[in-house]
Amino acid sequence: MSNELNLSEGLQKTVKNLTETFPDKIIEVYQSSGDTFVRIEADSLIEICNHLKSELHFIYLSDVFGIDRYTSDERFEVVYNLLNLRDRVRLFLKVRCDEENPEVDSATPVWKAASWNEREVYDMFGIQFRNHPDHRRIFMPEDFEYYPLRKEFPLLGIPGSIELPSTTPETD
Amino acid sequence: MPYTDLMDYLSPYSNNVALCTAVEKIANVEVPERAHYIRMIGCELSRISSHLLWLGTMVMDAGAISFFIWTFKEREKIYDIMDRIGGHRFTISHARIGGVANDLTDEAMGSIKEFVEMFPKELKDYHKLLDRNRIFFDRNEAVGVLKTEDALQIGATGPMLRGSGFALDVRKFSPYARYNEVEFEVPTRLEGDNLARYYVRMEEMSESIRIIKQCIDKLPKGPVRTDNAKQAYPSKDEVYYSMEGMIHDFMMTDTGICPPEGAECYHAVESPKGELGYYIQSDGTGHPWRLKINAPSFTNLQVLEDILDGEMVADTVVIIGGVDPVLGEADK
Repeated sequence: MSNELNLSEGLQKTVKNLTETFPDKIIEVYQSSGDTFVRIEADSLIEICNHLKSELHFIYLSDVFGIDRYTSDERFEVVYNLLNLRDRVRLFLKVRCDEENPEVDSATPVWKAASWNEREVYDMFGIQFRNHPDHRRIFMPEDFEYYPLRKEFPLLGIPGSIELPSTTPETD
Repeated sequence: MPYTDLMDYLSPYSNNVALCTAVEKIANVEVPERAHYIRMIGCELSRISSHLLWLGTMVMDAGAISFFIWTFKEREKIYDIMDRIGGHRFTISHARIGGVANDLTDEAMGSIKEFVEMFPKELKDYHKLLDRNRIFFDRNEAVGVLKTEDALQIGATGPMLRGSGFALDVRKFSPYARYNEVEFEVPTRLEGDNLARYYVRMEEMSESIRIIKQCIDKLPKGPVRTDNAKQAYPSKDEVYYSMEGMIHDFMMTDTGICPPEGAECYHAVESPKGELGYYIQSDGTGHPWRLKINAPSFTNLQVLEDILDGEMVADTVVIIGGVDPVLGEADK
């Protein structure tokens, strides 16, 4: 598979190592606009993360974000933006989860940096992270009922979902 | 584009460039050589401007009010330069997809050259005032210590990480624009305390001056925007005087640039606060399906939780000052 890709030396090593260590957990490896994405099975996320961190030097997690694919199966996608500081390699790790009861293992035990980013994903898409130490919303108020970055959420917002200060001066 | 100005409002230029480079990467837009150098000059100027504000406020937090006015005097000069470059002092929006909005005028060039000559002297004065200052030292030394391993683990970025002893700089990690053609150092300190962050930022300012000088020397002649009307706005001359130009201008506004369907890309630049990245996923139209901003202030604010633990309450102000967060950016 990796023959078709135009990979740098460091990435080649990484992808080869991954496909050999987890032959049936890697779903696909692909490139787009020069970035490399690896999609894996959601159940082995923590295992692969630990492997990436301890064996392949991906010690720095830059970002975690969600994508709403708006399809009927495996609707949500969580992407981990990882950096290998030794070989100067950037790798994107993707897992998918279903619309009903979206749940992914939390990567916070592996990289502490994931904590706030995962909270943001939860806040915006409603994806639950198992074993997250501080599982709360980060931007929206605690009692907000919707997930604003899901595609069905209207662009103008839902009237009355957030209490706003009144714009007209009170008249008694 | 104007929205990105308001994200990190202390360095709007880097934000513009970050978005433009990401779109250019996903849509395969070629940027002329000269535009790259103009962008680099703008980015480094905004880095100095941002660090100056940080310096002023941080020293003010530590007790010296008048210092704030002095750094603002220099910031004012940068605003004047920005005014001459792009016509706006604060929200510049000078970078465009496929290049920059307009070429540097002689007036702008002159003021940049003057600033580059004058600023190192000011910087020396700042060093003279602070480097042997007892109060400043006592307030900052060994305060808010972040060790290298912790910094990597928690994902600190920019001067925070470099102050903790790891020289990660996107300009060196994956050079964008023409950063691979200029010489500069990545200032790094091992201590990880507030004082280390002060030194890192101060040295970064003089490195920025060095980069700007090299850019001025190397600045090639040529167009500042790509001449492909399907990929970038045509110049205003063309829009006013030819039918095609106007149609293209209208189409660009209405439809925009369409990257291939399903394409994804991530591009990061080194903003003054750290790694500022844009992830774009396209559905083949002019609007992105998903656009995610990786904001350095958000990443760095997470560190606060760790380094504030066990510190004196009086020091929290200085530590927050040392992290240099901009909440407009943390909020995205």
